[in-house]
Amino acid sequence: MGSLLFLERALLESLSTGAKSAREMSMDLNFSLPLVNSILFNMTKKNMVKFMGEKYLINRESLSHCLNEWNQPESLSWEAREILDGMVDHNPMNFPSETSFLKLRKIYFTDRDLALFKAQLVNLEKFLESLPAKPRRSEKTCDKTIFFWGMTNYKTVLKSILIR
Amino acid sequence: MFSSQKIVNDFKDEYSGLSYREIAAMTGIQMTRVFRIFNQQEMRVSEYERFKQLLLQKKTGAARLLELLNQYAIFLSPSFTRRMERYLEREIKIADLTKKGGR
Repeated sequence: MGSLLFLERALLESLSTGAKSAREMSMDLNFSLPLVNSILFNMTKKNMVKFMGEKYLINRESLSHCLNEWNQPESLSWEAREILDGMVDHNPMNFPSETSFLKLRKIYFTDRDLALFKAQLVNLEKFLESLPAKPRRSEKTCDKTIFFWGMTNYKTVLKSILIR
Repeated sequence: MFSSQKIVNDFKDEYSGLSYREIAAMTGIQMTRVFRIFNQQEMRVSEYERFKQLLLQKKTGAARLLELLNQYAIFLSPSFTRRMERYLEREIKIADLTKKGGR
């Protein structure tokens, strides 16, 4: 089965709130109708979704076999790369907007700074966890916000580049 | 093994109308040597590399990608090559979906 494309995940998330017609998914994801049909055709072929009463729904029995594979660290890192590529390609570093931006800082941490930073991060994570991951009634899947955060150091990145 | 004549012909196609003097200036190869190469004499590896580099600069898109891989794949690590392979497979899958269905 391999890993999941972000396009496919978005479609599954759209269906996770209930059965939808291709047109409803097109509106929910802000995709063209032919694109939704093309993804649905592929996913139906792989038994990920099924078509019943003019609507598509997730094929839960078949999907449960794939979940383990999709949630493997390697598969998830491919999805993360795809999302990051999308963010970088969209160029939010140069043209930040209120809802889409990507920031990067290179700094030196003292032990005290690091402890302070971690405390702030815990607060941020708690706040994010308190927000709903599922849409409220009128919210579209395409309006779902993606957060990225993390840190590393030059040593780790350079090592990773050198051992590629 | 490489074919001198093939690269000379490719070079003539891509950089048509250049004089031997201009080709010598571009490649850094002596003009008399350029003349000989263009008249069937075999190239040295270093000369071949210079012509290849200039040809590569002319290529764009998929042709450039293929040429880069053709020339430099040997220097890339197996793990990086595997990653690029996977990356390309995913991009092709996305391109296939969007080609059939638009964006």
